[in-house]
Amino acid sequence: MKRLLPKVITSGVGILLILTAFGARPGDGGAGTWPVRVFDYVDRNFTVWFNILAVFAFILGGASLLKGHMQRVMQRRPDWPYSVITLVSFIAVLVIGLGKLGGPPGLQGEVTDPAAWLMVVFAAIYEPLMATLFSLLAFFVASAAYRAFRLRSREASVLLGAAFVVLLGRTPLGTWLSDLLPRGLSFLRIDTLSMWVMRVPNVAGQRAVLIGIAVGVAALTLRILAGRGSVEGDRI
Amino acid sequence: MRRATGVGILEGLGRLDRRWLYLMLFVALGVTLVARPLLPESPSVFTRPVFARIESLARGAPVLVALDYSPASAPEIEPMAQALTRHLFLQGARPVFVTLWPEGNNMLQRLREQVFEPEFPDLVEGIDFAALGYKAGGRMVINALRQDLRSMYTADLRGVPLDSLPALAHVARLDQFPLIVALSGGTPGLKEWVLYGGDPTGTPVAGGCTGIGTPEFLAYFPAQLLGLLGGLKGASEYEAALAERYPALGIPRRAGRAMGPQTVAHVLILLFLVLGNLSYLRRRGPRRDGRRT
Repeated sequence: MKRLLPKVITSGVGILLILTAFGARPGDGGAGTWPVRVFDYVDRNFTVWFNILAVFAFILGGASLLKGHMQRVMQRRPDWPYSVITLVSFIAVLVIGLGKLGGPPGLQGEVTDPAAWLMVVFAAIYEPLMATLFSLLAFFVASAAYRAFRLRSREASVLLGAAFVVLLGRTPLGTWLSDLLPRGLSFLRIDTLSMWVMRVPNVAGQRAVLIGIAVGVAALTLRILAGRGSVEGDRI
Repeated sequence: MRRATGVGILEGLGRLDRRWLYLMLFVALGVTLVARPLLPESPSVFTRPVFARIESLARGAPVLVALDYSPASAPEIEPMAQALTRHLFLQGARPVFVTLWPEGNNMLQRLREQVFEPEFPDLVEGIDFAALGYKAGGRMVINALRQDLRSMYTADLRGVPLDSLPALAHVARLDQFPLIVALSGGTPGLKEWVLYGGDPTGTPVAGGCTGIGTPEFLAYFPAQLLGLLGGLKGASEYEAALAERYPALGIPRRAGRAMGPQTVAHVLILLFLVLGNLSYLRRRGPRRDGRRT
């Protein structure tokens, strides 16, 4: 029973939601036969229930972070000082945000008010840190281009050629260089070639991947609905 | 002698310390960031449909604008958020701002300070636009909006009930927006708006994403995605189209000015690619069958 009941609930809710996707009629104002009314009810309310659960996930996430890092500090595990920084930052921002320090008070007081301390934390600490981390990518890409992107095979050569065309074609320089080509060689325009690479081989590959994933997800979903093969089901 | 020198340089390049590359990139980017050249730009086939759609909106039309990005992707996406918001206001449309990212409210606040307040001081919140802000749940939020906007948002960011906002007077569900504009720095974002918002309701979705996300989202263009502003170039193209449409307004070209440093970075990376491979081929030498590759 301990194993069966969760599987029955999972399968039942899953099948109901699939039927809802086809049977619900949003905006009909509750009209229609009783199955349509059931589907409308499920469609309207399950998403709200999910969002209520998501709120508890935030609390669980915060508690899990506190527990993990406190244990690391107490047991003096490697790199424990970083955990101290994480804990202090977490608690400080939590107090500033929940207390709405500096900003309009009350339940409806907006924490993004320019006077709120949370905005100061965001503008003075969070923004520069994120921008710094992201901008470092340019240097890593430059180094990788020089050291790792090698003509080791025919496939690598094709990839390198495509990268060359797209990198140049995504800048105004590509258009400017293409304008120097004689009219008879306009098919070699870098901006046109770049667009072709993006629209034809890239889209073909992306769609193949997307469709493959979708088929895989459908197969996995069927197994879960049948009560077989899900990781959660096996654990239960 | 000259040939030997050339070979020596190529072999030396293979042992070049990466810090020299960093220094070259730093200097090149620094110079172009200071000079801020404005390079010529024209809208691509991905950008034009978005511009045309906003041009065709009726005055007072509500448009859902999702700001699903954070400061990490803001250098690429914020210029397109600015240009699109500017265009919507110039057209007399009523943008309704939502976000699936916790940082989205802060990005909206920046948009207020950069565009709403300095350029459109006469606009009234709740009448000319609405700011609904962040809700947790990703795609489930979109599902709820599809059914009933007010089941997810009871009030705007100021705490004013949705029913008393003229900007949302005739909007109850997602399919009553003539356009969804989803600006996305990752997940949840544009993909979720296409799959759970645009596809089931038939509402056109216009997208904006980082340069690195562009190839992925092109798979949805043009059937499921009306148009796509891809990275800084997409933003620059949109700014150029807007500047051409409103020549007297002196439209700011934040992305256009940033294309100079991006162009220099791309050219340098291409140069590194070529030099790195020349050095590699030189060190590797000819294969036994006489071929180099």
